[in-house]
Amino acid sequence: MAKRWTEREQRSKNLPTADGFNREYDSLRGWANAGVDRTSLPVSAITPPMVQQNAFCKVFVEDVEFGAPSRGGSADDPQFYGLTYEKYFGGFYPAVEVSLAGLHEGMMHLEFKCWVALLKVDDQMNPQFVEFRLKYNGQTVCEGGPCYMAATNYFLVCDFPIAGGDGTVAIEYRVAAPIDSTHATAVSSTDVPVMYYGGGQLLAIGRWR
Amino acid sequence: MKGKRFEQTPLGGVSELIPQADKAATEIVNFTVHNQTSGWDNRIGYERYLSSTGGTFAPFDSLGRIDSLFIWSRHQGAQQWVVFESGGTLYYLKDYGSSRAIEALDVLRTTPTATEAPASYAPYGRFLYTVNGNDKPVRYGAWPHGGSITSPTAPVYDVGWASLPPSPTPWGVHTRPEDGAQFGGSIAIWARGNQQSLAPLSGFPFNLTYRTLDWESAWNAIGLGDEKPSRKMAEDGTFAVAQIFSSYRYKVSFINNAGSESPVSQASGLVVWSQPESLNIAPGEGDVTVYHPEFGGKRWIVGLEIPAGPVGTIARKIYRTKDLGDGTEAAEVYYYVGQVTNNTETFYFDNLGDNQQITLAPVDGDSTIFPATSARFCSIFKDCLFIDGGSSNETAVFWSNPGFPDTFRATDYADVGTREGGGITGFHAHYNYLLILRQRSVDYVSGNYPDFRISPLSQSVGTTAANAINTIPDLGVIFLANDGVYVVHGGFEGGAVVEIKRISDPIMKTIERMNKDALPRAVACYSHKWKEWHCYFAADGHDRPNLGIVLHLDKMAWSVRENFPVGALSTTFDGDIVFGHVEGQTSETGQAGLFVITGRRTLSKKAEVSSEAGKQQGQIVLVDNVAPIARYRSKWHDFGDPNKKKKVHFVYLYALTGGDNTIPMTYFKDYDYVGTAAPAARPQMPDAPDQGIYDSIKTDLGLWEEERLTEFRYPISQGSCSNFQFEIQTTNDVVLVGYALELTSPEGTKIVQGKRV
Repeated sequence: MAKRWTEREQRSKNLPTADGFNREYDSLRGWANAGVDRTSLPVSAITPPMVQQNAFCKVFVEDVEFGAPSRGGSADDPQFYGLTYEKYFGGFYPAVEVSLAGLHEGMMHLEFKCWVALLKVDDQMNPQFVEFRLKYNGQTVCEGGPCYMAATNYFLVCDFPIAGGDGTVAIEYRVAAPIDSTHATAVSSTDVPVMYYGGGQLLAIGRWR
Repeated sequence: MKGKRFEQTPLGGVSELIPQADKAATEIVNFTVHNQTSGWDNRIGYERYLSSTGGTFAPFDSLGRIDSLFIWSRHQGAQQWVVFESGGTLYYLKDYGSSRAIEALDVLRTTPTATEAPASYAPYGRFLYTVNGNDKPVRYGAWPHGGSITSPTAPVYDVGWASLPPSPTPWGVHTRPEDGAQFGGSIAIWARGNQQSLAPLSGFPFNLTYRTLDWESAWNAIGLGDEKPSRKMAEDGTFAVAQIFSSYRYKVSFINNAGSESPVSQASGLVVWSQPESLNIAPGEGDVTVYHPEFGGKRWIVGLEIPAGPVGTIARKIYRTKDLGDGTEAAEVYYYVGQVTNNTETFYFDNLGDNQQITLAPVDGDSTIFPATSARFCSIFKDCLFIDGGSSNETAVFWSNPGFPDTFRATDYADVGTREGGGITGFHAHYNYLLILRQRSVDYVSGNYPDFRISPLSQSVGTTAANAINTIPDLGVIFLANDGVYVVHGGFEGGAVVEIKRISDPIMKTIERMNKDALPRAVACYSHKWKEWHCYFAADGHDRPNLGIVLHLDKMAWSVRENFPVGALSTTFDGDIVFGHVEGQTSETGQAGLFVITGRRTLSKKAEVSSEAGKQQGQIVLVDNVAPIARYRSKWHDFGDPNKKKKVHFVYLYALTGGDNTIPMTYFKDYDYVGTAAPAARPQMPDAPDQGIYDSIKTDLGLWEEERLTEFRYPISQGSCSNFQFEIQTTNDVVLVGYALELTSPEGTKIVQGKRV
């Protein structure tokens, strides 16, 4: 928080010496140049038009579409992975990855939205749900709760500090599996859509320090 | 002219001795050292600390005198927290965000009297420790703030521990499942089993007064005490063995965010239980008993209510005895049980086996309540916080555990009162010792924790100026005492010799103007940027600092500062000298708040707009005030022989050219008070075309000018004299490199005979 005060003051009828001028001018220049310091700037000294685009932040808007799990399949080809399958792959399934290049150290703001429509109950009247989460460079940064609505919009919003460099946002989902009426834990053989997905969009705003 | 020429260059500092040293001056007021020429430069002044706050002294407009000031630099100067006291409130300057503001850290504090030292500050680790002798000591964490982003709360905490933690409250352990609600607040919880095997629990009326645990199989090896047998009633209704008891006591302590552990609490009440036994469920109506053999050989778990600590507590530690049997079978020795790493949960389940208790609890004397709540001075030395005992215990010194400034052992104190010297008036840590300033002596602390030694350094020097002591690199510790300025240099270890020496003899007359009663309000600081030690004190009967003395390290010479309204003093990380106004809003100029000593010459003052375009009449604005008046008065020159009369014809000032602002001169003879004015001279080269000046040149044409070393000649006309002196006094800029006097000395003219009665 280096502050700069008057090093030399040029007064009326004094010599306009180079050295004296430099000392006064350097002090002023320091405010706006190398020593730029938000605490030594007057309030509202910098207005948005003065700032180059992306000088303080970088914004990404990406449409996120993926092969939405829509139907049950067979035991050999489950099509997608649900919680209750015997072939259980760990719950969340990576849907898509979005690369964010050229980030600086600061805060990352992520917003993910989409709409989903579920087969609300299976043929056993078990409630169905869908759940999304966001991972940043492999770390879970935001995880939504299970959503049981038949049709709904799904939002995930989070802010977290990041290091500089490139980043990857992974969007993952999990959805309850359809349960066959005769085999409570087996893959459904009925070819019924269980979830529709669309309108996915990821907004990422990196704000630098 | 066939005269003698008498040169004085380079110029020295002030000498108020009689006779004066060569190259010395009688007065040097408001000058600093000009690095290029080693001359005296008067281009100094002061300006607002927040120079970007428009036409006011905001946010300080309403403040009066600044009593104390500390600029706390953190992260290599990246953060500078300005903490100051004014009008009984401890503030910090909120110097970020959308608007600058002053925020109160502590209110309703005692405003120090004119003869009382203001707050003392000691930064250590993440916190700034502040004591003032009257109010609760404050520990300030600066950053990060607590609370919400929009309305943050300053992180302010107590220093040390004001009281013992309350004792924890263990819930009773209920070992018979048949007992129900009459044991309200108790519940049987036991180990070595699983929940299913304890089916009777399910029949219990569970409500809010009961607490239970879901059983984890991993807990089977834990629980308090031994696996004591249960007791079965014989058919005749008696027991073959006596009741078997288990009992424990608990203590807690708090851990604060500085890592300090509080004193441990008093012991809790005894929690005691007996082993399960057969129960006659229908006394007097036959031998109907129930007995649960599965309850034998169990361990047990205690539910414990633990107190929450004061603000700043981040964890609580729990200590427990080992099994005390019936409560008297064993000595109460406490061991560490566990730590609750928050300050919110109030219930703790203790399932730690006795054989897992290894670490002994601190004893009562390891950490005590804060020993000196009215401490006046504090300092960090060898990682320990040193405080004095306050005005009612003014010869006591306490020190904290190293690394934990809030933890004080009961035995870590000393009393310096056994020697003459008076009460403690300040601390200052330097090199490998801590100076203890006292009213009539100076002591020092050396050694390492816990073996600190206190020894006297001087029993002839004393001071009450707690805030006028600083370290000057390579020189030592400098401080203002009752009779001058002293330097302590050297060391106490490795064969080094320590020396204490008075260095203010050249300015003895100025020192004698000092109001000694107001010494506790004297302030000083060393600036590595200016290479100056500044000290301001009350003089000439004032009740607050009104005169400054400056030691210029470049020349090891003294000068004086006048009309710098310094009430409190500190330096930034970069070495800029920041001061708090000595009067504040009630001052003649309306100046209030914090200011920086800089190259700005015209000081702002408040004024009402009378008529100016774009301004409303009566509006208060800041206008330029006059620059500080600089005064250089030469020594009294006797030119080697005061008996001989001399005629001084000219004074030549060696100075840098400065433009058309004139430099007036007055000259004196023979210690006279009233002088004669010489024609003022413009600091331009006399026999060369004038250099360009602001107001009449165009800076984009021609060459930039440079200051030139030149001589300005002042004619003197005062007849013959024994001693000669001249003075320049100006608000215009001048860089004085030296001077020469030209004189003739008529043969045979001597001083007249001494006066007779």
